[in-house]
Amino acid sequence: MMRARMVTVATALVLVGAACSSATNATVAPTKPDPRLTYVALGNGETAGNSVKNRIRSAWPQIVYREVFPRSAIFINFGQNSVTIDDAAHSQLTPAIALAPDVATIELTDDTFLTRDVTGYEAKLERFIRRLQRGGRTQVIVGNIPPGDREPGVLACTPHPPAGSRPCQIGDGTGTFDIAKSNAIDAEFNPAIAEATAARHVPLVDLHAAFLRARAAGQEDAFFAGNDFSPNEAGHAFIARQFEPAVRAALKSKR
Amino acid sequence: MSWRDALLAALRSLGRRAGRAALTVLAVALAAALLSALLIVSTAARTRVLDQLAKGGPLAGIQVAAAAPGPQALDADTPRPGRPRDIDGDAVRRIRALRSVRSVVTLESNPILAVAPSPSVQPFRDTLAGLDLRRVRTLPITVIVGRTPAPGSLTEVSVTEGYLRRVGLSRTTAAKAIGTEVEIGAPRFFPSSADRVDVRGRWTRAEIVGVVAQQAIDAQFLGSREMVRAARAWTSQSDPGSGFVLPSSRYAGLFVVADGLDRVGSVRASITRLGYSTSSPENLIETVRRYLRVVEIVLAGIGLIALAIAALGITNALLAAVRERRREIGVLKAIGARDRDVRRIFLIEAGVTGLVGGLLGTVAGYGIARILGAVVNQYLVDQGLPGVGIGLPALVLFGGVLGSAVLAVLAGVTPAQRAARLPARQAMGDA
Repeated sequence: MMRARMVTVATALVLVGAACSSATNATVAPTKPDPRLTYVALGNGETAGNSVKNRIRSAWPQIVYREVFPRSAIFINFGQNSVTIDDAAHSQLTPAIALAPDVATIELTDDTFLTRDVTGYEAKLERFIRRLQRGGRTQVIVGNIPPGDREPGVLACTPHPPAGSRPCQIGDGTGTFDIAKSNAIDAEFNPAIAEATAARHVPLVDLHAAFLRARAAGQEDAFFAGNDFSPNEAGHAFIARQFEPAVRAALKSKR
Repeated sequence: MSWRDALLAALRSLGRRAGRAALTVLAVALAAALLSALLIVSTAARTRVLDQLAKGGPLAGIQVAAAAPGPQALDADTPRPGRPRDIDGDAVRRIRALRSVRSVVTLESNPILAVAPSPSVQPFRDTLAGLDLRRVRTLPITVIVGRTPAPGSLTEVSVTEGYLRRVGLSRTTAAKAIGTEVEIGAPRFFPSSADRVDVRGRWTRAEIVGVVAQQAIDAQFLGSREMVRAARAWTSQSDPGSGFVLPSSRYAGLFVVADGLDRVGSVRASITRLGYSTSSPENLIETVRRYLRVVEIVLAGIGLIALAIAALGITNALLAAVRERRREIGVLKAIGARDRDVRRIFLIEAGVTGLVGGLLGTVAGYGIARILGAVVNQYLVDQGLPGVGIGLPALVLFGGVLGSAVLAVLAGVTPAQRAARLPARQAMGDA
């Protein structure tokens, strides 16, 4: 009997307590954080996003990070303007390795006009990739050199520039640009990049072939519109799309 | 005559004069409803006003800055801090050990670059603040919509109204920010060349889970302590030659809660003696509290006047009942009822009237307060302010019912006494 009374009193107190409680705010269910992945992008000025108005939004590595990686992932962009592979080994590779990245992309193409040393570049790129791989703990993806002969800044320096071209900015601006020679240099560097990536068993993103396909489809000029030598926002989005399948595959292999 | 017999006699009497009893109960109920509604509304208003002043945190809270105390350190609620002074673990321990300190919450921060989802909003520099989110209730932080991030989360943040303004939202449209993603970059300054410094961001993405009003720290983003520490670990490795200087203090500030509002002054003085700048809205809160007390006294006075009128109504009704029931009282006394039995019947009658009236009145008062609360909330929401939570305080519930019953019994004392002293012969004779 006593126990029944106590239960009744307790129930009454609980009901009164519930009646006395005040309104609370609507809540969003907490989410469990994913394991943290680290993605680093090493490369040239395009990797840094120097050719777009808002590099934090539109640089191709930032797009890859946003589109492919989980929310919990960390991303650091080490891209720099006018950087040789030697410079990058010091200013980008060392701090990148210190982060123990899970995925890394490399797009180092400035040696085509800064050193033009194809043989040295291949050996250095292979070493660069090997160090970055950290014995297989980092999934490395390398992009090659897109064709530069349709860049508005290059076309402006040809003997017969397209109508509306800005003045030539290469050299002192008075000479002409030898497109055939430029293409020949690219044609030497791209096999070197392919050799280095094959030697280190890392995927190669063939930007050269992708841009040529876009050219055949009449899309390439839109990737450079408004810029002189580098891709615009549409071009960066295009590059990001080329990298994304390889990065997705790398992420899958990490899991 | 037993209590049970007296109760039955009182109930029978009330039943015989149901109309009058109902009117008497109604008078008590109206008075109780008025009093309880006023008390509920004034309590809610008081909490709301003081909460706004303290921005959701405890009223006895003191903010400690990573700076030495400036001139007039204790004269003003928010004095200007002096030169920077590090707050480290030892300083936290010493402050925690001070007399009348109830709790100390550490606040950490890091500069960030933030990218909102809308492309039309330019990336902007701000601060990410971090704290032990399990103790967020002890801080001056009010959730406007949503919630605060889960403790230890690396992917959730709350934002302030400053962020809302940046992205073109306001308090009324704050819910639109919930569930969106913001990119947060902690900067690190690298040596690049003789004349150039490279800044590289350590980017993370976070879901906005809530919008808060907060005065704990000057920051538009509120995250977990772990999130801020990771960002700070990156930024703190900046090249010393870059010219960028990250404040060396481990903690950006502290939030200290004193044992009570009365102790805030002494705790502030003790922390100032330890060499840190403090601020607290103690003077403002104390002033407002005095004004609110006056309002409460006035409202309670109005309610008590209503109850006094109701009590007079009970007295009047019972006096009328005594006059009408002289014959009945005489018969009761003739068959052996004692004075105290008659007194008991009338007191029970008054008590039951008060109890029923008080119960009905308190419930009605709560209903009135809820209706008023809904009207006020609609206004507050229209103004972009958080609404008021109207609850039924246990004290008002029990006080309203029992108080009405006690008051009714007191009102019934005189009529009951008069009935009890009525000689049996006179009662019979007059009848």
